[in-house]
Amino acid sequence: MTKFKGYFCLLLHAHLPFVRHPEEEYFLEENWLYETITETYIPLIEVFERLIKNKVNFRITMSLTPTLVSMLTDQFLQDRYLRHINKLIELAQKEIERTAHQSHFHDLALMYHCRLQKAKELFAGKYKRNIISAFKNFQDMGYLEIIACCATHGFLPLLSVNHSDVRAQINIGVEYYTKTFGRPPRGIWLPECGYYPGIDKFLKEAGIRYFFLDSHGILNADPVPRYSVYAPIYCPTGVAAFGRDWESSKQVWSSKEGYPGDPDYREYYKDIGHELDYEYIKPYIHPCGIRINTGLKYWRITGKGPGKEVYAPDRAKNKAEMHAENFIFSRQKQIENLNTHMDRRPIITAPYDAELFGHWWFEGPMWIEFLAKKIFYDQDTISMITPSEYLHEYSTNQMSLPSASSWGYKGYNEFWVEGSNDWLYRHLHKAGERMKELAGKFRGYLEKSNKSIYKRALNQAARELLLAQASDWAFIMRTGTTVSYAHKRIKLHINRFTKIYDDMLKGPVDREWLKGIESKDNIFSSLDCAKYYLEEFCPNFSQFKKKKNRKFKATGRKTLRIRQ
Amino acid sequence: MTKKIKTAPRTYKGGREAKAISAGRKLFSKHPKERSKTNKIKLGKVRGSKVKKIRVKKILKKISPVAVKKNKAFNRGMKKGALFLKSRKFKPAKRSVKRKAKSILNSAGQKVIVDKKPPLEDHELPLTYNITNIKLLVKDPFWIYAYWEISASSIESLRKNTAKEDIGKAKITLRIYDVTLREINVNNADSYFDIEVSQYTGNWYIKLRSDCACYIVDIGLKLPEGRFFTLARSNYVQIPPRGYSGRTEQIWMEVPDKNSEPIHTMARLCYYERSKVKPQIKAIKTVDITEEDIKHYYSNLNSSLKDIIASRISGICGTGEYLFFLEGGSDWEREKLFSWLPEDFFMRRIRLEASQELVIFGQRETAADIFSGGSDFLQNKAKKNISGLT
Repeated sequence: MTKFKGYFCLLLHAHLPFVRHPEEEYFLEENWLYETITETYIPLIEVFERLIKNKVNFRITMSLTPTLVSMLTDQFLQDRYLRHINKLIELAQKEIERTAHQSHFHDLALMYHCRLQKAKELFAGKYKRNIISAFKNFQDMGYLEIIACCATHGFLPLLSVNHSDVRAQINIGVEYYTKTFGRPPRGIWLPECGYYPGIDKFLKEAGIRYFFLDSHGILNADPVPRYSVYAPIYCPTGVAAFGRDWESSKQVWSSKEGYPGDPDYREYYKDIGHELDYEYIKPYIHPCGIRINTGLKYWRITGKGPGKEVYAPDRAKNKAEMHAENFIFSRQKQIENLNTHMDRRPIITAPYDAELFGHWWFEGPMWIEFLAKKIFYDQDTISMITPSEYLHEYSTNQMSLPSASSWGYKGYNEFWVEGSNDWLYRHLHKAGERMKELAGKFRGYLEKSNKSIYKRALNQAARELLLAQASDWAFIMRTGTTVSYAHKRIKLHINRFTKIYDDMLKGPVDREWLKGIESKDNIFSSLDCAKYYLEEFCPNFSQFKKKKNRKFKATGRKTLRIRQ
Repeated sequence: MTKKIKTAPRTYKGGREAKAISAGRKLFSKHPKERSKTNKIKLGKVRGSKVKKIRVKKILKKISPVAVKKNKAFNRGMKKGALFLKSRKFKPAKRSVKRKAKSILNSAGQKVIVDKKPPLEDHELPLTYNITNIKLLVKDPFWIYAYWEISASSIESLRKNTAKEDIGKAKITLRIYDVTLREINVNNADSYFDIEVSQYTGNWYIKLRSDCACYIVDIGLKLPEGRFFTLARSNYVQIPPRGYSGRTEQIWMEVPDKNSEPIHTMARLCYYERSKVKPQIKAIKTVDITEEDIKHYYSNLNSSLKDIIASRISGICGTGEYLFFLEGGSDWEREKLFSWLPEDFFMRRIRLEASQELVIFGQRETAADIFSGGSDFLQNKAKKNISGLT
C-alpha cells in the first residue's frame, strides 16, 4: 500500500422512497423500483462479480437505504418485479421480430433481450429474489463497504425541531442495517448530506464512526480545516466527516461537461414506451393507457438537436473506457498536486447517486468496471479505499466543527423548505411531538408481546410518521413531477398517524383497520419502531455481540469434531 | 335497566353458560356507586364457580347481534369487569362493542365492514391544531422560515390581563432576538428586530442581518406605544456561516478504531502568587479542559474556549495580581494561549505562560508526537509562526 500517493473513495448512494401498493393491480410509481433493479442494481452486481472473478482488488463504498432494502426484501414486490421483467422479456422478443429487417435495431433488440434474460436469471435463480444478499456477500468478502442511512431518508436539519425524530431516524436506520447485514454499520450517509451541528452527538450514540458532507460543509468548518476536503475532520464528539471533492463530482455530475452527456452514450428520453404505436405497446405500458418508460431505447444522445442517431454499443463502450482513463488521469494529477501541500496521503471522496449509473447513464456500470480495473492494473499513483480503512490508517485528524450544509440546490436547506413544500413541516413536527407523547404514555406496552394491540398500534404509528418524514415527498413537490402522488402520500401517512393517535387516546383501536394498514405499510415490521421515541432510549449493541459469540462457539465445536 | 338485562340470558339455557351470565348480571345490575365496592368479592365468586373470564367473553360473542345491541348496558358492565381484572398502569380506552355490532348488522350475513366516512386518503390535513406555538427552520445563511399558530384562547387569556382597548389596537408581531454566543435566554440578546405580520398568515420567511448567528423568535402582540406581550417562544436556531471560519488554530485528535476508548482533551495550569519580597508558590492547581469544555466551545452555546479558561482561572484566583508560570513550552504555543485569552485579563496584569502540557490535545502520546516532531508539516508551520513573532 505504501507505494501509492493517495486514495480514491467511490461512494454510491442507492435510495428509493418506500412505494408499495398492494391495493392496486398496477401502480405507476412502483415502476421506479423495477426500473432501477433492472438497470442499476443488477448491472452493478454483475460488474462486482466480474471484477472479483478477474481478481481485481477494488474498494467501493455503498449506502443502501432502509427503504430500498425493505422493498428489495419484500416478497410481494419481488413477485411483482418478476411479473414486470417477464413482460419486458416478452416485449423484447416481440421487438426482435418487429425489427427483423432493420439490422441496427435488431442487434439492439437482441442485446436487450439477452440483458433482460440474464437479469432475470440472476434475480430469480442465483440470488433467489433477494439481491441484498449479493451486496452482503461483496461486503463480507471485503470489496464493498455498505454504510447505513436514516430510516426513511428524512432530511434531518428540518426535523431537528424534535430531537426524538432525528434520533429515531438514525437509530432505526442503524438497527435495520444491523439486522440486514449482520453487523453494526461503521458509517452513515446523512440523507441529502443534510448536516447541522449537533447531529454528531446522535451519530456517536448510535455507534457511527464517520459520515459524509458536501464540500462547503468541510470548507466552512470552524476552525478552518488544514487539509481542505482531502482528509476527514473530527467533530467535537469524535465522529469523522468526509468531504465531497468538487472536481471529481463535476466531471461526472455536470449536465454540460459531465461524462453522461457524451454524444455516443444512450439517450435516456427516447423510449419505445413513448414512441411506438399505441396498439402495439399497449400491453406493456400502464393498463390505463399512460405511456411509461420500458427501458428499451434505441438512440444515442448524438447532439443537442432533435435529430438522433441509432445507438452503437461498441462506440459507447470505447467512450466509457476513454472516460474512465480520463477520470483516473485527472485524479492522478490532482493527487500529485495535493502531495506537495500535504504531509499525508490525501483521500478524494466522490459520492454519487447509484441510480445515475445504469438508470440515467446507461454505460455507468461499465465505466465503474473500467475505472476499477484501470486503477488496479494500470497505475501506481492512486488506490481505491473505503473510509474506515482510511481512518484505520490515519486515526489522528484535525478537530473542527463542520458547517450546516446539504448537497442540494444552493448547498443548504432551500430545496426542502420553500413555497411548494414548507406547509408540510407544521404537520410533521406536530406528529413527531405526538409520537413522543404516545411512546411516553404507553411505554408499559412496549415490553409486552407483539400481539398486544396497543404495542402494535404504537409501532404502526411510528412507521406512519417515519414514512411521512421521507425527504422524497418535499423533493418531488419542489421538482414538480408526480406532485399529486407526493401530496397523497403525505396526507395518507399523517392521517393514518392521527387516527391511531386519536384512537389510542380517546376511543377504541380499530383492529380490522390496523391490520389492514400493517400489511400495507409493512416497512420495519421486524422492529419495534416506537421504542426509539422514548426519552430514555439508549442504543445498545450488546445483544448483537452475544448472538455472534454463540455462533462462534457453535462453529468451534464443529471444527473440533472434524479434526478428531 | 334490569328489564333490558333480562333479555340477554333468554337465548341461552342451562349449564355453566347460564351461571356465568347470571353472575355477570349480578355483578353489574347494581347501582354504579355500590358496584365499585362489591366487584371484587363478586368476581371472586365467579372464579370460585370455575367460570373464567374467557368463558364469559365467548358467551357474549354467541349472543345474536340484536341482543347485543339491546344489552349495551350489560356489555359496558362486562368490559369494566374485564378491565378491573387486569388492573393496568395506564387505563386504555374502553373497547366498545358498538362499532363491531354495527358492521355485523350492515353486512347481513357477509363479513363486510361498511364505513360511512370517506377513505382516509381523501381527508384534508387539519388547518389548525388549536395550540399556540412558533417554530423556526433554517433555510440558508440568509433566511429563516417560521411558522406559527395562535389559538383564540391564548389571546383571550391575554385580554383578561390587560385593558380591552389596548388589545384591540395591538398587532401580531414577530420579535427576532439575536442570541449569538449567549446562553439561550432572551434577556441576554444582543439585539432584536420586529416584523409585523397579518393575523391571517401562518408563516413567514425572515431575512437575516448576519450569518453565523443564533436566533430565537417570539410571537406576540405589540401595542402602539411599544409594549410587547409574548404569546409563544420558538426553538433556537443556529445559522451556518456563509464563508470560511476566522479561526485557524489546529487541534488534533486521535480517535482509535475501537469506539469504547474515551477521547480526552486536556490542558493543565499551575499558578503562583507573587509576594513583594519573593515569589512563592501558593498552590498548584490543575485546570482540566475536558471533552465537555471543547464541546461547549464548538457547540457555540457557550461563548468560547478562551472564556472557559478565563472563568476557570478567575474561579481559582479571584481578583488580584497573580502570576502564572507554566514549565516549558515554545513561544508559539504561548502565543496561541495568549490569543485565546480575553483582553481584560491583560488589563488585570496577569502574566501567562504556556507549557507543552497545557496545549496538548488529542491522546497524549500521539499528540505529543505531533508537537515535538512527529509531523514535518506542523513543525515547519510552528517555526514559521515563531519567526513571524520575533
